[in-house]
Amino acid sequence: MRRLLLTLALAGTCLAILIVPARYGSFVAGGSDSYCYVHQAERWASGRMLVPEPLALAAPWPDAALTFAPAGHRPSPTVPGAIVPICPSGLSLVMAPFLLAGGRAAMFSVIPLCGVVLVLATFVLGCRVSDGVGVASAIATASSPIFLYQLMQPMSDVPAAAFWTLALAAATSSGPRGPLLAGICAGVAILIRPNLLPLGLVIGVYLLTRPQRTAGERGRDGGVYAAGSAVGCIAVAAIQRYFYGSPFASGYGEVGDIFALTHVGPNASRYLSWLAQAQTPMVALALASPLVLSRAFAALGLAFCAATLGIYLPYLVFEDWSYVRFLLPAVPVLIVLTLGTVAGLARRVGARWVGTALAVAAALLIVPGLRTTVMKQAFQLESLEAVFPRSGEVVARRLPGNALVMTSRYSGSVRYYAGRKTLVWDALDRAWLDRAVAFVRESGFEPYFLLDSGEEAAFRQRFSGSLLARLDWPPAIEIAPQVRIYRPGDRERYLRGELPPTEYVR
Amino acid sequence: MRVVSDRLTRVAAVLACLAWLHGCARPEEAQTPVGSIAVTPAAAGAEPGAPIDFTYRFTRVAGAPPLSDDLWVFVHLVDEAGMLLWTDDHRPPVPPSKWGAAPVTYRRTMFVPRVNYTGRVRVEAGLYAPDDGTRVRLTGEEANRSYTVASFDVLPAATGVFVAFGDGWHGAERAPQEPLREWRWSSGAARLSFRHPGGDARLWIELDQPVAAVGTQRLELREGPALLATLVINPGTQYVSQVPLRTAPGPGSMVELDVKVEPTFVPATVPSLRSQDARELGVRVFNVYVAAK
Repeated sequence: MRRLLLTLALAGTCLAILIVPARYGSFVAGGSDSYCYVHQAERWASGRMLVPEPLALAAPWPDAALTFAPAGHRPSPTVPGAIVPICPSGLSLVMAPFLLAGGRAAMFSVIPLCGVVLVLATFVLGCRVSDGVGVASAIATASSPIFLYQLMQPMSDVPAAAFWTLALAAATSSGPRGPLLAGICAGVAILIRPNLLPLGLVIGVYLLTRPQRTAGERGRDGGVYAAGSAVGCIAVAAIQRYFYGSPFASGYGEVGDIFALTHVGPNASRYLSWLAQAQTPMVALALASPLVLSRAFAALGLAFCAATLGIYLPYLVFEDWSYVRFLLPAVPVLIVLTLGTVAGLARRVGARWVGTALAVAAALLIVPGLRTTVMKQAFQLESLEAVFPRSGEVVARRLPGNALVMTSRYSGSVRYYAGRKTLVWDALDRAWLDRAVAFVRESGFEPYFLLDSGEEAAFRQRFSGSLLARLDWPPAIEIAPQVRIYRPGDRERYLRGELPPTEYVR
Repeated sequence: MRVVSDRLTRVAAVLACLAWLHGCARPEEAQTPVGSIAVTPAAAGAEPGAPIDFTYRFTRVAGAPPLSDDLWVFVHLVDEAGMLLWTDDHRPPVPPSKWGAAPVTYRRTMFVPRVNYTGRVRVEAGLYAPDDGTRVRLTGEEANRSYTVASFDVLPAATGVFVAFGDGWHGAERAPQEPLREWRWSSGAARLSFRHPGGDARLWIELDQPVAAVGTQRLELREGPALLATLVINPGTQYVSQVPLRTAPGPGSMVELDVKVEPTFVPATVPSLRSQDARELGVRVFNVYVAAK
């Protein structure tokens, strides 16, 4: 009966992970990251990766190629006129077969499916302590605000965390295929987030030092694991060489630009306070796990968490809470260690207290977690980002086929939903707005400005020498409440006394 | 026998609860009409974005029970097919408890939202309690205690002038429950620009500032050095002001108006708001409209 209840609880959790994103998820090509992943998936699926843009080659202004690189992309350093993604390829490679099989909706389903994998892998990892810890950890992980926030959008955090947790679960299994499976999962995880490579080393060290194994068994396990994960590492190197010209280059720029020792202090205070806010200070109990659980298991878990934190301490400093997502690979492990410690301590008091203690501890993680998730608007992301598909669909429906949209924030969504060419205005030289508009016309395209009301001031300021930058004529289309599409040619008409009609999309 | 007795007891309890709830019902829910409503538009039509004035007139039925001050006026604008286009619900300027034998009359300006719709618009209005949605019965032909009181035309955009929100304005916002009601916060200094419509022209501006802790504000509207208007803004009050514009120097000439607001505030620094919003805010502007007289 108890086993049936635990199974039902786990099944219900998995079902919720599939249903909740379907209702509240924001699976759109909106911001830089999401467009980067979905566009790259489409490129992988089509097999056409580096496609030169003729306008980028012909445009006369400085850094022309940069202006034709939409959100989440930059000019290719190897193929003139082509763009390359700034994000890693792993998630897009996972999405591509789904896209081929079932279209765009299927592509986005990768995220909730990875969410289920993450929860099941947490269950398996927790079962290394006990079945109860497994189920409680799985449900607590599924209720984590960090997990739920990322489950609602097409980002790589949940897939990366899923494969790392799977790697940990496989590495800690006693089965003969565990190291190989762990290696393959680590390889996929590295393909999704190459900067998390050190986490693979933590698992490797665990396999090489695991107790209750002979030296030969440890060496064999370590070798099999390394071979499995090497596939992912080699793939990362090959893709980076193809995109960025060097196996060690990434889309995010030079290491020196994004990592600095001065970031360690500010990041440590931010991440630790964000983590305590999201997962409650109770997770600090994980630090006591070596006293209660198997030392090797606890050491593996704590080292994994420390490595995850350590990777991001010198990284750029962010102010927004949502960047605690970088720690998501550590969250399932942290929860398993916390609940494992609670169960172990309760067992010392008396075996009959274990179930109660676990239930109370899990509730103390789950209830505040869900409350924080609501507070952080995870379930409102769909409405907050709906403007991206809506704007893109309006462009597709209302602008001519030869429209070239000068935009910035919407450069990804316009390309994704409307298939129109874009020019990123905030990469355009300040002195070139009028001449760029003329060039676009001479090239056979009809220029439009697409700006949200928060961007208009920056647009005016950037091109203050241009009359077009005043945006003082009626927009051709206004998409509530914040996006306007201006036709530059309408300004002359308006000043002559005509009133070009505005179409309102509410 | 005992089962039957239990069931009878439960039925009696339910009936008692229903009777109690009925007894607790608001006096306004009584079936007899408490008064009548009449609404008269000042114009036969208006284009999107334009203001249109309405005169509201409430007359109480003699001997009707007193009305609660919690009551609001609901105003629903529907198209000819009966589909809701927008609303202009508001608290009546004279509290309903003070409505006596004499009719209560007031004038209110509504801005036609910027929508693609043109054609006849029906005004349906009545009284309701915002906390629970209960509507008050009035005289006249009704549908769910909503009374058709007027109609006017939304005209094709023709006479209006496009007003650009330049430097100093924050992005447009709207509340999900009122998708056609948009606003922009100003900072301390903001600029409006538009093409002068020629002749005697005026500017309508609808604004408020909802945060009590900010206190009274002063807004100046200038064209270059010339002061066109000074407005005193009290928190929580909605203002619709008309500002005469200076004569255009030439046909189609552009006008730039500077809006200066003092004091401004940063929501993150107002403890009662519990906000993380670090923007400098002045006033909240819902509508700006410019037209020749």
